[in-house]
Amino acid sequence: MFRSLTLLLFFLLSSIVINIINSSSASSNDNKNELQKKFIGTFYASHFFINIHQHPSSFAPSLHTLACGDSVKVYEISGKGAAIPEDWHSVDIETTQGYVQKALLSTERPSCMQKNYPKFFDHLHLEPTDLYYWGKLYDQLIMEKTRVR
Amino acid sequence: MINLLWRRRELGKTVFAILLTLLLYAYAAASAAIAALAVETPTPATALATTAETIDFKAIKGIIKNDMLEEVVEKKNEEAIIKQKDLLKKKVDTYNFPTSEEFWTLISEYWLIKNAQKLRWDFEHPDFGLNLAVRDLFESLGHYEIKVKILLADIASPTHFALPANKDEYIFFISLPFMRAMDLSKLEIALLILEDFHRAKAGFMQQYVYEKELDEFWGKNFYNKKFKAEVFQKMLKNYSYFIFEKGFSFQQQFETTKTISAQIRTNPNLWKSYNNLLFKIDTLIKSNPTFKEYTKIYPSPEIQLQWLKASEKQ
Repeated sequence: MFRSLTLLLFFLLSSIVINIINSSSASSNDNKNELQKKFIGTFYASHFFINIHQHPSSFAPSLHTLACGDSVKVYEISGKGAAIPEDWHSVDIETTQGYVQKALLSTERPSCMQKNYPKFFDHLHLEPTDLYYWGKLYDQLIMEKTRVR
Repeated sequence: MINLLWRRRELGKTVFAILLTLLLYAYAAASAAIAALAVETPTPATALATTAETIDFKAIKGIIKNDMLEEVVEKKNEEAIIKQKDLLKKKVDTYNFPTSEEFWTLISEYWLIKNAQKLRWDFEHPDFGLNLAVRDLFESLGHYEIKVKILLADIASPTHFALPANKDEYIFFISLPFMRAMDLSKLEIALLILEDFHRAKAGFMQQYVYEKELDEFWGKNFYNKKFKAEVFQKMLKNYSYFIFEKGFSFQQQFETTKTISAQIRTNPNLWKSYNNLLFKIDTLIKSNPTFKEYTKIYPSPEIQLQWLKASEKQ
């Protein structure tokens, strides 16, 4: 009887250990198939208003509009199926995940008219549709700069 | 006897194993219980920090004076005055007005978004590489450190224009149907944009749309001053009237053509392309009724060609 109790305890403990090992190996397998996200840094919207898109395309649906100076977390995506065009960033803001053109973000907090002249901006009486279209405008504008002399 | 000893040993081992298992469970349960019960207890320091006290010192003025606390009261009053001044300064600073150099891009883009439906610039289109053609042309003509923003539109009219913008910044609007109707090359489109660049640089449109009410506000503060937001609406109306109705004068066209011809006359390829562009526009507006209003805004490609011929002979 005592031997059987001992054997029972042994099997109980070994089943617990095997379960622990199985769950950790399953999670490492999942990681290999999932896209890997690596945090690059915090970037800032560098134009009046810009849109975060569902896909890395200026014509993809807009998820959120950022005002100049708003911060986003930028990630590098790698792994199976990760194919982001070179001129786009994958970003996170609160609960929204999306994509923004690199040209519309800067690594340093920019000087923004909304922050520098808030009461002046209030006098424009901007509506939510105005903010949305302003973001769309920056999606459509083709921007270029001639070189320094 | 031996059997009895062996049985005792086995019993001991089993009891030990059971006790060990129970001990581990008890430890895990206790840790969880401690974590759940952990509560941030307020410290005496935090309790005091949030309360704002006002004490009336008048009743005990004599005692305070003897205890040298009057100086402390004065110091506290001074600190309160300084804090009030800081708050007022922050409030006043929110009423700062931008300079004229910062204003134009904002109002021009504001006009574009207010007329988004009418101008039809929000549409899907391929990348034509116009930015590179414009950049190369501008650099070849010595226009450096310039920020260019090009907006394509899916509308026949207005055909093309440059909006007022901040210093060394230019916003160009160009109609895709207009470009396609003439099958313009990238260089010809870049030359059309160069024309608009010189018009914007000369300030023809900016002078027309500007409202003089803004003169007293540039770079200043309008706290406690009467600033009417209606001035923005007036400017937007001026924009629309200029772009859709008024356009440029003959004199302004002549100055623009003269400036461009002086810039490109030494480059045969550019000269030929510019002549070609004006010829295409002239042919289009005479043959296609969709673009018959072109000369109302840009008079007149035919006369521009004559000016170019005249300057060539010189």
